[in-house]
Amino acid sequence: MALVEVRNLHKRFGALEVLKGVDLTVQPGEVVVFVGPSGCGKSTLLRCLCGLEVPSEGQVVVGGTQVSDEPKALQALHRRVGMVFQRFHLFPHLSALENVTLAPRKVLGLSDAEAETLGRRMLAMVQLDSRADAYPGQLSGGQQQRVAIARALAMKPELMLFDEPTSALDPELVGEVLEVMRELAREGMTMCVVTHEMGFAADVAHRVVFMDAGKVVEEGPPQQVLREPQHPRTREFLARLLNR
Amino acid sequence: MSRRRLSCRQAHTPGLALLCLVWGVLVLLGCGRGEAPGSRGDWKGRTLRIGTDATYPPFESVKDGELVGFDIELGALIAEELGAKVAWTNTSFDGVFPALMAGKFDLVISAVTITPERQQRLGFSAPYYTAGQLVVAREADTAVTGIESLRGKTAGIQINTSASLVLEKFPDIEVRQYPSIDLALQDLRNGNLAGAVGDGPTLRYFLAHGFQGLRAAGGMLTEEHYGIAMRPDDPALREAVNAALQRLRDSGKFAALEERYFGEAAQKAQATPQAVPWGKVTWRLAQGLGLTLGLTVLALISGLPLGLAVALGRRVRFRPLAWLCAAYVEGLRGTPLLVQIIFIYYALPQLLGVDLAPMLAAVLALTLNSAAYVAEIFRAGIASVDAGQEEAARALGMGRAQVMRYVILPQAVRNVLPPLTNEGIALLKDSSLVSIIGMAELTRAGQELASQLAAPLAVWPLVALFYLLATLPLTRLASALEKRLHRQG
Ligand SMILES: Nc1ncnc2c1ncn2[C@@H]1O[C@H](COP(=O)(O)OP(=O)(O)OP(=O)(O)O)[C@@H](O)[C@H]1O
Ligand SMILES: [Mg+2]
Repeated sequence: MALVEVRNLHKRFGALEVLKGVDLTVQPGEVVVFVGPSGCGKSTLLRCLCGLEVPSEGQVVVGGTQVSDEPKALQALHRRVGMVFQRFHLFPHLSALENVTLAPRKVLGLSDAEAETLGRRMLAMVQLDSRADAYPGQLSGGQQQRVAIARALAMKPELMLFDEPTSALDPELVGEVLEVMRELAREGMTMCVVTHEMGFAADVAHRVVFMDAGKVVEEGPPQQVLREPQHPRTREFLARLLNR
Repeated sequence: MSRRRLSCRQAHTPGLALLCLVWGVLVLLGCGRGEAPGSRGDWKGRTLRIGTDATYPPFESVKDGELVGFDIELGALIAEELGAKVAWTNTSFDGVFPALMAGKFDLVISAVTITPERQQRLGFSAPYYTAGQLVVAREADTAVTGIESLRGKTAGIQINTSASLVLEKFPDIEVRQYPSIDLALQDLRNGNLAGAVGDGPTLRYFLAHGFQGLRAAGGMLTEEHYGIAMRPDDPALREAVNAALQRLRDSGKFAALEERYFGEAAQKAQATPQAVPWGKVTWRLAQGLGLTLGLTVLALISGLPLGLAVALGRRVRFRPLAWLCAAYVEGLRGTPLLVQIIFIYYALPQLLGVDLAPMLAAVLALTLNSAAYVAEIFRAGIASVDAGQEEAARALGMGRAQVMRYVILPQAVRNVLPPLTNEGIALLKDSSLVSIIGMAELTRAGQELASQLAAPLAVWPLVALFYLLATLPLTRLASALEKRLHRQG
């Protein structure tokens, strides 16, 4: 059974319709990369998948639960879906370790000792066990994003969403974050990634989805969508991306 | 007393107009209501409660922490005649009549001039002292010989006093108004005024006690009578007081009292100005500061959590509660603290039928008022936390309350430390307004000392210094806290 099932999803902000009927299926263990021009609705789609936005119309079903505006159901969904933001959004008043352990303690009810063991393991996974006591302000951008990934993973999510996780990073820091994501993919995590890193898409993604103006225009294996795009909008977009 | 406010219609500031409004409400509520202790006419063994504003020598002032003066001794004699014990309340003149109407005491003996306006609202005893308006000028300025010679010049008076009635008849005298008459005298001495007009006995006292270089110019301009004020619905008490006054006159005790305060010997004794007793002044001000600090700390301790609760209340999903919290903030920020203090101390007990001690009323008013400002500070602090923080926390599965408690608030608190410090400092200074319900905090202590010693120039700089001493540690504490929190971030 599919882990994510999106049918005829519309999302409106007032008069502005951002998503205009999106259909999407993600199988467990799949890595899907979303590309498309700025403002086409990629972030909004991801936010609908994790319940930060509620559909205006259509259905979003994640692991059998439908996204609705019922607070308890939303909270349950949040717990099963991890989200990594472009601008990290680490909690600046907490150390790296505390960032990772806060939700497990408060939401899952882990004891301090259990949470610390878990937190250190998560930080080790992103190669940051040595910086457990550092505050976000003392970490580089790449390190912060890795802590943010560890923070999401600590909740043992079934699905991980990444919204341009490397766009806010200096070029030399992009690699360390992508490396962590590659490792996650190798371990079989189901991932939806919005990114402009075409190398990552080509290597890691099982499927690339090209979106434009609130719709899915084209999707398929990376070789097909990136090398031989069918749709003129896809071709145009990729040409501009490669000529940068 | 004629230097003081004559009637509501002449109140100039909005705060005073509102005070009169509250007073009006009180008169409506208070008249013919509550126990009227005097109505039995028999005061034997009971306690006669008397209010006064002890900043008006030689009638009433504070000396070494004790009430002294002509009125004070008169009150004691009357109580003695009635066989009653006496309990004094020293409060600001603004607050003395509302408190009387609210039943906080039975009499006001405070050099109160009997005027037609006051007679509409208050009961008065027979007159017990005849005073009048007097012109004061610089000794060197021989051109000023009385009110006529002030034409075309500038004269100082205390705001809203019956001196203004005198000066109304001289439109070509420019009038400058001062919050208290000793400040007008100081400005006269500094050469900014040609003369000052005020109550004769008190001006004479000031001339004798600290304002060298000034002299009385001409005789009394008017005749005014002081009376003992009481609630108008208490004719039995009025008769008892009048009878006591008559007995005091018959026995010669009244004449002896007058002689001691206003006889020739007294005038001569007064003529020697004293040096400022710095030790006593400092000690009195320190006591006032202690009360100011106590009030501020208590109000902050309870105002901070209340303000936080109100700020959070405005965010709840249950709209009526959110509206209530918003209304609370707007209501308390939109009305003067002075009016709130008066309302809580004088009107609330009438409406609810409970009696609040002044200290409790003062802390309550300051708490409720500062909570409104604290709530706004917290609201701004919460709004200043990046929206991504809440999203990240929610995306981790945290509930609304958890997001607020563990993610938003800790960051908001850091943002609001500077404005909270400002609020603390503002509160410390605003706490001076509780002098209206008789709390002898720092400003009131300064007022009492300045008038008693006739030395405003010596007292007020010291008062300012004491306030500064109190606020400096507060700013220091806040910046230290800020630095500590910053190191973490
Ligand atoms: N909360 C909101 N309220 C109103 N408009 C919004 C909101 N969120 C997004 N939008 C609008 O929806 C449109 C799509 O935004 P979205 O962030 O999904 O695009 P995107 O594909 O992620 O673009 P980018 O590549 O720039 O991140 C934009 O025009 C944006 O301004
Ligand atoms: Mg986006």
